Amino acid sequence: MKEPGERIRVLIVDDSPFSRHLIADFLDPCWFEVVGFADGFRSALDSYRTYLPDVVTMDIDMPEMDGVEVARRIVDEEPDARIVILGSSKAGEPVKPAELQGVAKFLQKPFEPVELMNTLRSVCEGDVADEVFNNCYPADFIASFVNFTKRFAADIFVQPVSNGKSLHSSGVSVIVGVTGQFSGKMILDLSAPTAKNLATRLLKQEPKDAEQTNVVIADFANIVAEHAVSKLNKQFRGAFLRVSPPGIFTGENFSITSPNMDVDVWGIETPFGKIRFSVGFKREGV
Amino acid sequence: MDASKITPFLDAVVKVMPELGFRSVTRGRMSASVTNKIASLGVMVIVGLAHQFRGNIVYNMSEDSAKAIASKMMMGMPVPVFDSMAESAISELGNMLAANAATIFEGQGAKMNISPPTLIAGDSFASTAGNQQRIIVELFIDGLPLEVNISVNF
Repeated sequence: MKEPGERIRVLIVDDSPFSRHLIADFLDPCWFEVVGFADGFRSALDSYRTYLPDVVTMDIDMPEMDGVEVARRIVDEEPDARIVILGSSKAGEPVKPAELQGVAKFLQKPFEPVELMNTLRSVCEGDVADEVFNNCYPADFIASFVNFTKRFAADIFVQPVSNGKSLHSSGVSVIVGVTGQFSGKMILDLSAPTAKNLATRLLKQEPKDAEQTNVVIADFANIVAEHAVSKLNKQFRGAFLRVSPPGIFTGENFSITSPNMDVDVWGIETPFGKIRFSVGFKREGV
Repeated sequence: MDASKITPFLDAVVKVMPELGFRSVTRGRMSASVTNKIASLGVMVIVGLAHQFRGNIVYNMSEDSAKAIASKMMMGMPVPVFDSMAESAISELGNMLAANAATIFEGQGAKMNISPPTLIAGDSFASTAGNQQRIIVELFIDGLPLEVNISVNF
């Protein structure tokens, strides 16, 4: 998030020098700093990498390649790029919001300076409402678990269980942290025999020791978390979620607590044994 | 892992503890571990790290240390048992220490984001996947031992 007094750094992409300066003049220098100009895909990507702006404005109507395509290519190369496409009514076909989803925001020309500044600000500060994110992430995480597990196990049965803040471990727990606009964690908990069964299936041979078992389970948890986070990042541009490496905890008698956050918990019956899967998020800075 | 790079994690402890009312932070042994396993001293707080650096930091302490630190954090309120209030205080401690380290790293131009803390109480071992090396630093907070385990890909 922006510190007060820190300006939002903007890269302006437009083939027309007149438009570039018009847009630059629209931005109040108290709040915005224009760090560079570009006039097409190649120069935009180069300038993006040179200046690492907070946000890019992109004219939709450019001769070489249209702004939507330029935006899509930049996001392919630089997934953290935040782009606002400035559309013109004379640009021919109207842009369908679906085409922009996960790529950029759209602002229709003509606009007032204040509209442009508000749009840029909302993109930079992340306008993902807590409730929307909170309603989505549990489903995405459990779906990621189920989809991955179903590749090698047909019979799995998922049941939500009451979510307490503390859980007594069955023997092996893997914790994967998530950072970004929303920070949270995913926890996989299973008994040592279940861990061994699952690792045996994933390795297609018996693990050589408990340590190898745990590493395989940690890799499994990491894949599940990466898939969920990648889907959420596409849904919530600006959330910038990343996963931290899995931490593995083992023992006969220990508990795991996540104070100050709500955690969703599922009990999952699998052919390898029972797995407890939990995920919880809190808002950054809370 | 270059041991000099972990300094911000320790500087964070030196900065935060006096703010909580502790008088002294002294340093004990520092070691690098090849075995990828941390035996819990009773209470562990793990914070995941991502962005430019990826890894985990684990604050490891005895239940007695945890109770004494929680008591100090709660304005001297007695903490006879390690209950949910104390758990909450200790995980907040992990959050403060890691967040401060992240701020110090950021001042040096390195971006590091932290996940919310998770508290692990009881008999357990912590490890990470892969052969990630770990640096263990023993600190004493007004004489109370606190072990800081750092495994980060710098």
